[in-house]
Amino acid sequence: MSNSLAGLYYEGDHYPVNDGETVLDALLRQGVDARYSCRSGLCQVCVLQCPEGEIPASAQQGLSPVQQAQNYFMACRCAPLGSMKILPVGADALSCNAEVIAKEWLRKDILQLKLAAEIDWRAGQYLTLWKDDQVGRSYSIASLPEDGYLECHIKVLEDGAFSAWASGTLTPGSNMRVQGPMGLCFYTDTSGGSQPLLLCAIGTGLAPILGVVRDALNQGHKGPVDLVLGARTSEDFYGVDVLNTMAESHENLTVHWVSQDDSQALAKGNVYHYVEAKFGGLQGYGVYLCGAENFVRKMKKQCFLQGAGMSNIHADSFISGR
Amino acid sequence: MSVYERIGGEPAMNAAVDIFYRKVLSDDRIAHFFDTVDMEAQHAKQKAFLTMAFGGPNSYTGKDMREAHKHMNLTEEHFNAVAECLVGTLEDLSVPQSEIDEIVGIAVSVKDDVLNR
Repeated sequence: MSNSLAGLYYEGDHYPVNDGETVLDALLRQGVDARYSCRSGLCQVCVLQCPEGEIPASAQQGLSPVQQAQNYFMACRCAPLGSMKILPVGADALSCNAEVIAKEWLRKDILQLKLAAEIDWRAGQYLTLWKDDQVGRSYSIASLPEDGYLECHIKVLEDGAFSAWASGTLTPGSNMRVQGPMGLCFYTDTSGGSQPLLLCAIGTGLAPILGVVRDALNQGHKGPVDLVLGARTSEDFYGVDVLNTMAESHENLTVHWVSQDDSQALAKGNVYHYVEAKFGGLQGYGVYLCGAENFVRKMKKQCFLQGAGMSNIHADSFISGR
Repeated sequence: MSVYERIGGEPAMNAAVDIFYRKVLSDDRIAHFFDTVDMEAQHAKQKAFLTMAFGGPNSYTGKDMREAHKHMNLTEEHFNAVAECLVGTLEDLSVPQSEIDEIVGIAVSVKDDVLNR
């Protein structure tokens, strides 16, 4: 229903909202330079504030209690229930300062950034890193708080609004704003550390998965931990030495390298077939999945059908900035 | 004692929904309807429905059922497929036949809503 009295009041102007539109859609359609990234309610780049008007619950899901109490909401997730007065939220209000302490290449196109920032996190959660007031992108945390730094693996795209800048401009000593931590894909245990774990990742999905594995082992997890990594070609794998060393010093950790080419006889095939053949029934397993959206969706369903309980599957999809 | 209480209440519902949802996703007559849905969201909705059907605490309304399904042009065959998955789930949980019949009765009571008739 469209009502000329409904709509958005933003920075002195009125913006009508069409049926089925979100606040973000409506603002962008009418030429407002609203910032956004994932458009899926995950990155919190599009957060705005609504001092007057009703905020649907789904538009606040994932925001902290303090943020919710301040009437912050995600514009991409907000289908207005009535008219809303809206204010921008400064990136500063959502984020804190981080300093780059190290920058290395893990693969010719994957940058490892180590950051120092005053936040608490669990390995496997993610942050939104801000290039400036407009461009923010989400990256998972591979390190533990004990390490003393936040570690992110950034896939650098030639035309990447954030990644190209990070690759070319950031150096140790650079400062940037970071927002978070967000996300629920971190190690949780209700089995006294005995549950078998299956972790599966492709690409830079390795970052949070590496964090979860280290967290589990650090907390004394004794059950079998199987880490399955998939890639198109064996050249795509990274972090190989780190992981193989970890597997050597932890009896219960097995790393499976599954590539689709046969240049190296690691394990040929695709991860889906490999997991199906190698793991049979997944009843009682804790399953952790990270990587591109399609991979996570497909693997989640497969693991569920192989017997893993829905509440035991922890999945983190990488949704690219759009 | 309701089926909900007999199987163990809320903690047991997750396992019951897992069983039901796996059957649904493995049934060729209806699996395709779930291809693009968010699995966790779907799981939660099924849990809400099954909690109601098993006699647990709920706020389920028929209106939700109609709204949720009306754009899908569902047929008797689709409905029956889901009902079969439900019966199979109850059998797996060793629920006695008389209570299975009762729960199927509850499912049938929302048939017109689901089929938008």
